[in-house]
Amino acid sequence: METTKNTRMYFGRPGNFYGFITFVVMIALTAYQIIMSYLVLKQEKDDFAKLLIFFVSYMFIEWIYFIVVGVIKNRQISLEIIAFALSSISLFITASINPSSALTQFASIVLGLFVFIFMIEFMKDTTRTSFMRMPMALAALGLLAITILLASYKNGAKNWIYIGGVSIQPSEFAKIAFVYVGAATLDKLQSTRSLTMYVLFAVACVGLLGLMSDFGAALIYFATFIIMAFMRSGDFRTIIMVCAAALIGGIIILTMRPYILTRFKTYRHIWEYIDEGGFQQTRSLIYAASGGFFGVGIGNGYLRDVFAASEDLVFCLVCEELGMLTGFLILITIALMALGTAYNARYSRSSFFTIASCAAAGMIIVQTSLNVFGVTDFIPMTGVTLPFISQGGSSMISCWGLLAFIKAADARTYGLSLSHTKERRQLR
Amino acid sequence: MRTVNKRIVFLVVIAIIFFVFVDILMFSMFSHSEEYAMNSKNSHLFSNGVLVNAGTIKDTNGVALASSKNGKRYYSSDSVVREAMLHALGDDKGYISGGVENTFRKELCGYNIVTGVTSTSNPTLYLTLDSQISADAYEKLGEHKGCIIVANYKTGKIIAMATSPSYDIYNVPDDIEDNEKYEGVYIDRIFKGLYTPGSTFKTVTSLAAIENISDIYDQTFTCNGSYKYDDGEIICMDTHGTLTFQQALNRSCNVAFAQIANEVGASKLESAFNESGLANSYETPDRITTQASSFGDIDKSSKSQVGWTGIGQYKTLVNPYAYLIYMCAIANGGTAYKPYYVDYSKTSGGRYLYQAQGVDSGVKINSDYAKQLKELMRSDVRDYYGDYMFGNVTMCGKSGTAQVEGQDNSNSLFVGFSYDDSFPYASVAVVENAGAGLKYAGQLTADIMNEIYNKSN
Repeated sequence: METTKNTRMYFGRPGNFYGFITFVVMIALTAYQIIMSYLVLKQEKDDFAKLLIFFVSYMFIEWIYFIVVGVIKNRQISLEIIAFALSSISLFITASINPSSALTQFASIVLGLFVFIFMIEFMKDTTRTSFMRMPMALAALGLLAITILLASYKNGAKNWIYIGGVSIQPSEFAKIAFVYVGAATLDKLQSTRSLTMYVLFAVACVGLLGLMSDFGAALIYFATFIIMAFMRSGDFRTIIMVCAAALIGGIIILTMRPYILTRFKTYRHIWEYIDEGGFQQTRSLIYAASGGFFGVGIGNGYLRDVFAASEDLVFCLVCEELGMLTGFLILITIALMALGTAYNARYSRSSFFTIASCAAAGMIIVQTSLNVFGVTDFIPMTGVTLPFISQGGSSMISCWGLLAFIKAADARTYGLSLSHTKERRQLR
Repeated sequence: MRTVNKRIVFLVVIAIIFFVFVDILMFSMFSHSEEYAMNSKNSHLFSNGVLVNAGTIKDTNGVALASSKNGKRYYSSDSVVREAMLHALGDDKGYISGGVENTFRKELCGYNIVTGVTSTSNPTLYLTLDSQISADAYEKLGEHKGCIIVANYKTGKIIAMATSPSYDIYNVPDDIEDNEKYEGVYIDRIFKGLYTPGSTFKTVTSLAAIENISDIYDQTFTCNGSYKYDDGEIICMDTHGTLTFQQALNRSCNVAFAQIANEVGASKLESAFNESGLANSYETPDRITTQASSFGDIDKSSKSQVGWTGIGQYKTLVNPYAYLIYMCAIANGGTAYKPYYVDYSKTSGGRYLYQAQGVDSGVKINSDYAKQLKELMRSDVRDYYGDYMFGNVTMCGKSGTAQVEGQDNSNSLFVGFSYDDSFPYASVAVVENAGAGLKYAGQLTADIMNEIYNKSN
């Protein structure tokens, strides 16, 4: 493989500023994190030592990654830097609001990073990737089925199970498998049978989530399915028909179970139910606005006292404490990440990576939309997390897993240059 | 592979749609941010719906009337000032609908989207009021319910106002809800009160007469203590004998004014009432909606009803604020600004968050008629009440003693203004259940006008 010149993104090539810029970004990120650490630690005297260890370790891990992957292996790591930056916000928020959960959050990010590295390594071998699609499908269904059996209701949805004192949300991990199975199935087999199998698999997943009353997740899965189905078929009519069928199905479910609607009765009426159904959304908007552009400072907000502040309401919590500019910067970053995915997906090694990366990026966008537009009352609130920012271990690991698909689609990840892939394609 | 590549555009479309909606959200949140932040559920600024973190309110002399410290709101240390300023500032429960702390919340908190609620440049809001003079006026009202309002008729700035009953925000009386003494305590009588005008209404009847009866100054009226119409009788306080128009106003002769009212006719009397601006409900610059006065639904063919209306003792009800506008208009040549008491709000950095501007009240009286009315009201004081009563102020005015059913004593009213342009103040005073107009409301006006005069010279 021709890895010598073109892939030397960092310090190898004179006149190439990527390396220098990445270094500067790392310095800036660390500076930001040091300031944030200081602001959090200033207020958390009781857990000072513990939190200090987490924060320092976190920054240490970032630099290790930069040195090993960025400098020694000479790879581009801008995607990881974005993920590190976003994840650190979740770590600071968790440490500030629930210091006792800081360990879980820290461990989840580290675990997520390992999942990310492992998946990239795993997908290096395309044959293995294809072979594993059936076990992955079973794993996804299994995870969801286990949830149905073992989970207890929490906040109106039955999506949490407890193992050895740790609460996990299997539907988050199943997201990775869902994307994987979809991309792998649609990549290799064009037969109607495989497509039917995949549709059945998707219906089963969405159906199980519906049974858990986790409508937010069901919607995310469904939207991801649509993206993958389009990537494969390219047929708008089919997509529209599927959407119409889903809509009709949804309406039928709602007619049979009208109580589901009561959840959404405050939608667009939150100020009328300011102390009832609209409590979370109104407080979110009030406090987001209170933060102004630059925020009231971490730890000085009031939204943190509202239920699910660091999870479902985290966007507005960021707006209040870190400022609306930070809040919207996060959203713009996520949008740009999706555009970057689309750009790199053109040069991926096979259509598996193209489909998987687009599905993963689409999933992140859909989930972000449900979270952010839900809490701000643009759409009904469905109670999903904000990728990378919300507190929650399962969600964090799943986000890093999805990120692996995006990363794997970038040919440079596997030491190939973009031009190399182009040439190879032209030879085909 | 290539076809799949083309379909990547789907993700691009999703990302762009997302981006567009993020922009819409940003626009929506930015444009509503002040409204959201000012919600009374915002614990940064409010505690149990009470504004606790806000700027300082100062009176025209720079005396602090309210300020915040460590999440608590502090008011004047003088309990009389606190009581006198209660309605102007607002209460901590939100029962009083006007009140700067409610209506000027935004200008008091100085929210701006860049700094959010962290604004270290807490603004200061200045009132046009002199809190000490207002407190003195409040004290002089004593146990009586009532109100007084004094404004500069050239600029509209209210310098003193007080309304009673009131209470101390630091020591809310336990029996506030059931003690008769506190009945209507949450109502600012100046803006929301309605009173039978009594003889002060003769200023309106006079306006109608000047406008509609060309030889009014040549006419004479004979008062024998009462005057009988087919359907009723007008009673006078005295037997005045033969009077000119001016003398009839000076001595407040009911018989003469009942005749004048009938000579003008009910419709034209009502037109004059409308022209005086008394009929209007005003949106004040201080964001208060005043109670509209009403001429009253009368039988316009009944001479006794028209007569009683002409002397302000029938169904007509007037609002003190509207009355003040009428007085300002007479004093000011026919037009007047809406009186206001919030002057400006400024951040410590010197940025203005609010600056009052003169808002025309819409009242337009012919300047010649206004001038005649001014001279007539001047003669009330000069020729009848006596200038000695008003000390240094060259006063114009009209007293009123309005009988109110179910009250032991009459309501005492006095409306007037300074004749001298260099001391341009107009006033309206009502002392409820007190007695003669001049004795109570007139004296109150005289005292306050002189206090203002002495302070400004």
